[in-house]
Amino acid sequence: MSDPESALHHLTQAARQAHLPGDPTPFGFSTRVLAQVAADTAALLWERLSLRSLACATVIAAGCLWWDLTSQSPAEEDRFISELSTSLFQP
Amino acid sequence: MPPDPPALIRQWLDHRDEAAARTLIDHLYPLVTRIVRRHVTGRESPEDLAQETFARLFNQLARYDPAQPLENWTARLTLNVCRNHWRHQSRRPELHWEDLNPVEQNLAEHAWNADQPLPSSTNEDAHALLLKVLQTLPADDRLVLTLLHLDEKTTDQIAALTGWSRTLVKVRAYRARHKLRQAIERLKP
Repeated sequence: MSDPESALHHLTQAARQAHLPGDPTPFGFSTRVLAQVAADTAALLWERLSLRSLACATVIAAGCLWWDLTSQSPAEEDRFISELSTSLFQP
Repeated sequence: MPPDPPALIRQWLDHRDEAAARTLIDHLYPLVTRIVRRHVTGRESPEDLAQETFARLFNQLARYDPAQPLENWTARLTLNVCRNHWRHQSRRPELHWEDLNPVEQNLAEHAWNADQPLPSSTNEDAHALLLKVLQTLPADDRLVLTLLHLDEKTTDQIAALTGWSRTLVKVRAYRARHKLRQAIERLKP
């Protein structure tokens, strides 16, 4: 009975000599690859566009918020606060 | 006339020439399938992995440096696809003598008791059994052991193929070998 090292050696030695042929390209393989490449390219394009759109939307939203906060006059702000503090069903 | 890979790559990149892409696939397919078959069992759908490799190859072709051989770059890409496949695959639990089929049991018994190399008629079965044992190990351990023992690559070659440092390759190989020895121990009849 041998040790694990020797068993491993025998197994790897035999496995190394296993005949693993490099086959010719199967029928339709190139077409499948090119279709996948086209799909991946389209997905990548959408991903890039979506990320850019998200960045643009964030900038526009921040701009609107800033414009809204800076453009309010003090009188408008007071009216808004008084409207908020007035209860809906006053007697 | 043998294909001229740099010219084919240029045609694909500049004009998306599908004929050039098909010639490139035909040229590289035997190399890719040989690597995939060396590293994965028949059950792990080698053709799907070859397709994934080529899809990645065409998507990354713009980054290919023509100064290095296309075959080396493709081999590296193929190994990365195999490694990712193992990472996403659930690892086989420990493999014991009782889990083997009769052919594998016979082979394991032979390997344990043999003083001589195994007969050449068992080479394919030995390869399949070794891959089955390797499936119980983590992806990186599996990769380093396959490159070291099946492909007989040197530490430098493994470092170049995986992008790991030489020290990391040595440390990984040492630890992985220890795990593999334990796995082989479990196959003792």
